[in-house]
Amino acid sequence: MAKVNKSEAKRPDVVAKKKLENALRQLEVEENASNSDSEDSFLGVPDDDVDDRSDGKDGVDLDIVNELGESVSAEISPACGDGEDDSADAKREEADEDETPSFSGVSDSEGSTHHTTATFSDIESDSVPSDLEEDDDDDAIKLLQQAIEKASQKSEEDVVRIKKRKKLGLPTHFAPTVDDGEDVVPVKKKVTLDDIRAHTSSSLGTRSLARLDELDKRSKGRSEVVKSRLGRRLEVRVDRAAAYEIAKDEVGKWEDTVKRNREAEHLEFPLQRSGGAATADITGALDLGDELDGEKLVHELEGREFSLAEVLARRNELRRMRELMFREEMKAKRVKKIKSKTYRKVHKRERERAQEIAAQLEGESGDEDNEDSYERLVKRARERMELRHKNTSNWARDVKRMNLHKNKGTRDELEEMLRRGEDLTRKIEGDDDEISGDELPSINDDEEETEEASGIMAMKFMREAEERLRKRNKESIDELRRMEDGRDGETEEEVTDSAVTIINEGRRRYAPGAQESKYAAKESVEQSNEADDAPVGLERKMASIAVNDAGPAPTISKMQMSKKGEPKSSKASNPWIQDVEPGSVAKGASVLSLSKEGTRFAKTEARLKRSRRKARKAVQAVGDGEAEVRIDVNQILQVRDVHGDPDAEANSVNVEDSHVMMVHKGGRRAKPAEFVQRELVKRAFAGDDVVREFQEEKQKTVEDEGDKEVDVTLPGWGSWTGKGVRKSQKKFIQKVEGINAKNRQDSKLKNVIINEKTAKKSTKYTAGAVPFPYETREQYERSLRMPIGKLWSTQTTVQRLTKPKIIVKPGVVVEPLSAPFAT
Amino acid sequence: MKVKTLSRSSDVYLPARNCEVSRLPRNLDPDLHPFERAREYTRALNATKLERVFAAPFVGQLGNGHIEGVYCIAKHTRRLNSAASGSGDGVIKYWDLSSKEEVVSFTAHRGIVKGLAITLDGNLLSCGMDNTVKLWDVMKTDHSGGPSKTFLGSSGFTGIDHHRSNPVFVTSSNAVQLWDENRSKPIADLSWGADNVNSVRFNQTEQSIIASTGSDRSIVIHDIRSKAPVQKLVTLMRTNAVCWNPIEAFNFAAANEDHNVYLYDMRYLTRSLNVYKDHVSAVMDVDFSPTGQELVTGSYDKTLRIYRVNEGHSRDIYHTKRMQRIFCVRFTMDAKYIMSGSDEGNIRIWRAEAAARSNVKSARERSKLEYDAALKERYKNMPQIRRISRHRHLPKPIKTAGETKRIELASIKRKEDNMRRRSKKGTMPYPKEREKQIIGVAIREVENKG
Repeated sequence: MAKVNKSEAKRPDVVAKKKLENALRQLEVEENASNSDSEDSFLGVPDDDVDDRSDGKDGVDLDIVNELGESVSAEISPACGDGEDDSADAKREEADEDETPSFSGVSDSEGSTHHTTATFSDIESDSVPSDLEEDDDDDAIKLLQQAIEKASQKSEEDVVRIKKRKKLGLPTHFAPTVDDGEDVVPVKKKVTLDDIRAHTSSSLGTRSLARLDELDKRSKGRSEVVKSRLGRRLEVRVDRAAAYEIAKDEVGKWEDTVKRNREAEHLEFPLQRSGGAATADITGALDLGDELDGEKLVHELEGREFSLAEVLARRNELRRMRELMFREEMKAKRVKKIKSKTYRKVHKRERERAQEIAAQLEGESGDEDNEDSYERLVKRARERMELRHKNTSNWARDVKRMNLHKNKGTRDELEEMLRRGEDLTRKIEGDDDEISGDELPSINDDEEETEEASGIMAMKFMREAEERLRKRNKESIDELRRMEDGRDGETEEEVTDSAVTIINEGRRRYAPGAQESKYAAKESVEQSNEADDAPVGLERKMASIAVNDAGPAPTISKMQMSKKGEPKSSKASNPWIQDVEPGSVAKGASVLSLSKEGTRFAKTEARLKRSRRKARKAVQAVGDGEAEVRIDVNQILQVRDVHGDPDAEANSVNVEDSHVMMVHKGGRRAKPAEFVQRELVKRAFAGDDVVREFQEEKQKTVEDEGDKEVDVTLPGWGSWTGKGVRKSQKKFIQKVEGINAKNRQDSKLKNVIINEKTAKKSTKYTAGAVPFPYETREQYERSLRMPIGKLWSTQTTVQRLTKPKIIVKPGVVVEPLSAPFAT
Repeated sequence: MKVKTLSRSSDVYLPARNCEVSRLPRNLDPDLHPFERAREYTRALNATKLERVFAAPFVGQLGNGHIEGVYCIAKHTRRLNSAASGSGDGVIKYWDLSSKEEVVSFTAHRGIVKGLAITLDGNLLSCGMDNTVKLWDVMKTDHSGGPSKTFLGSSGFTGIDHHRSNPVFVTSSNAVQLWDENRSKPIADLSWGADNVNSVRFNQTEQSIIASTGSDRSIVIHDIRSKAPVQKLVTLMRTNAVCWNPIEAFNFAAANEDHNVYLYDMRYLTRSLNVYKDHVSAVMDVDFSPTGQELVTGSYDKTLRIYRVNEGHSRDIYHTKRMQRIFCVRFTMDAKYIMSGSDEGNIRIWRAEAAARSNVKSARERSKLEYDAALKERYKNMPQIRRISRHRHLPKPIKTAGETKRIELASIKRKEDNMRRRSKKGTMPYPKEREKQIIGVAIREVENKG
């Protein structure tokens, strides 16, 4: 094609055309000069050029966008002919690239045709009919004449048209391109094609004009904008650079993925699920969901415009949600079937814990929470109380299951446990129940009996007897109640005396006094038993109750209130401060008073009380009801008097501290010590020349480890013997290579000897140099330290340590990664 | 009082089922298991030795091979057991890999078959020096009727590759052309300068990018979105083949005439990422393992080598007495086997791991193998183990060629060093090993960017 171009360029008509064009241009430029406002049309050209290029880029971008969307096939499907054309064009362009433009303006290559034709079409506009043919010359001439007539009118129209074009920012005139490289010659007046036609009469001229027309016609289909181009080669290069940048950016998007894969400890291939066959099965079951989905999508899409990527992302999102929901459902179904009690229990607990945590996280105001948690705690405590000593514990269940309760020991244990459980339950429920429940069964019993009396029990004498019994019981109960309430004469003060106790409603009491009183009560009971030798039922019971319960709190407080109008405020409020007299033991007087016939013990006790009361009164007289804090005068922290008598100081400083003292008191005494030390060392090592010895040693080691010559001559070997034979002087000397003195590691270190010997056996087990990924010897050593095997670590550790980096699922096609990458 | 007696139920130590291995109670006291390092070292050594003992890389050959040399192999990218091969006499054979038997065989071209590719629907595209690209339906047993489609070109084709997800393929001849399966003429010309293009390969991950190698020693990157070549790299010697890393979209390996394979990043072509040495003759083909961790090369020196991607020397070398110059190698899609086609007309199948066996293993065996592998990895730098694991018996010509090459290189290096010593300081810088082979790139990257 390039050759064809050249030949065309040499043809005379083309030459003529060129001439014409030059003339035209001159005229044009002249006119421009006259029209001041048309000057910027020159400036318009390069701008246009830039626009053009950017358009081209946009095209590329669009292509890429298309590509990213799935429709590559659509994108790469121009008509065959086009493709051919393109390739032909490309070839032509290549040819163009090769040859330097020897002729400017007019060439067959497309770029330049654009310039010329566009301009002519501009000039010509609609006035000239396009069916001008070479063969019917007459018609042409006629037309020309008409045109010439019109020419004068046209000039005005032209001015208007040019202005219009300027408004649109289009070039109004032909402008020389970079390719042309021709100088612009100023021309006075604009000349149209018609003008030229008027002046050309020769056949040559008409032919060339016809050709111009032809060119014009050909270009009509194409854009009418004048294209100015950089050099073809330069343009291509710029395009490629731009395309390369884009390609690089596209490929660069994989960088994170690649990095992640490289850094991953384990890679399991295939990395991506292929095809999504599995998901298809799952989603296939949810056809309805799909439809809904689609509808929703459509509705949403109606509203606004989505990019393809957005839609895809949204669809994927929905799909994933649906699948997650489905999975959750399946899981719930499966879990629902589980019948295991333990499983339920464990999960319930877990759930509760989770709720608790959630509640905590929510950070609500503390009150409700606290209340809640308190309640929960109480509930839990109660549960524990109930459960522990019932036969629901594992042990108890085992006992039952394995028929161990036939064994007496075990049975006893079990019974003991149950009994304790009952006790505890009673205590939790409260005192009233306790009394009625266990210790005094008769009360409850007879009440029940009254209700359902029948048979012999319904007879009169039985009823009377019952009545009597009930009465007696009632009396005894009343008495008991009274005693409990502390309305029983003497007890009051003793109780208050015994210990100021703050007792909670439950079983706990914090004051040590209470504990003591308990013991005392027990003791007293025992003593009374001894003394009387006949147990008094009720009293004993009471005592035992007291021992068990250590007395209910409310009674005591009542006692205090009733006795003296004012409560013992300070002491009562502070349970930690007690009036304990040295040598005395607090006694549980409340119980003591129960035994009405004064025992020995009681008497002594009363005496003690009295004396105690006196003492307290005395104390109250001194202090004003403040807390009594007992201070042992003898136990004083003894602090040595620094400024005291010299004797003491001298005693305190012992020999070991002497140097410290020296330092403290200044250098006066320190110097002689140092001096002495040095003297001592000198004297001790007198006569030793250590330095010389060391040097000698080093010399010796250097020689030992250096090259050596060993005489391996065997006397008599290889020599003749007998008379008259000269003894050969030949010696067999073997050289043993060692380490050269210069190459020794310690060759430059005066005071050091470095052992250069290597243990040959260990070389087998040492790596020659620090291997690649490690940087220091220590790192490498550390990597070898911990053994891998099963003998030395747990199974999970072993599995972790031995898991291969790359795992390929067997029998599966490992596909390359594809664009939306998610593992 | 209860006395707890020592009792042990047999449930604890006896296996529940016959097939189970009895559990041995074990004491974890470290004092009872001394010398752990020494013991593990010995185990590693033994494992290494056993690996060499069990190394049997050659699995077998496909059928009776071809009559002429095999110059191209195409693996089915979505099926494990299918592959096609083309030979010098224009015959194409389609193989069933599991039975190692040929499924179908037909004469496809006049003259040599230079390239094969498998389309999306499992059909076969072949190209030859007779200026045609032909589409074959391999499911048909009778191909006397000719191909199902023929694409005519202006000159002999040297290579072909198919797009991963679109019905588009690219050929190399005197130009790089993009074709649509449904059109008879190429839809784009992507060539850049070269008179003859040797090979062409699609990027499987970033699917619109193509690399081609030209006889003008160039590697050109094309982009089918802009339908143009985008970057060109010129090296010291010709590149015979390229292959893109399947999990790293921007990296590709190029098999060069200078006995080396180079790994490039298409974004930064002014230096290679790695140089794979060891071959003693031109490398004819290269292929990445589907896992992207290894690559296999076939060479004119009648051997094929396997390289780890991040190491510079081969992990293993395969050869047989009868195998001639290798022109094509491919990993199978499960990364377990390698196919190689050579001049004498056989297609051989090799194990990617010489000592590995693909039978079903018990958990115990598997864990033992994993443990051994971990130990080998840990102690691989110990001299004894390294020596044993690297030891290979080589054919004499290759060994001597290797030695000669070493001497030659040393002499060149010595000469350069001498010149450097005698020249002005700084005038002869040391050339970087990874940049040595590069003459230049068409589009220089802007320094301050990225």
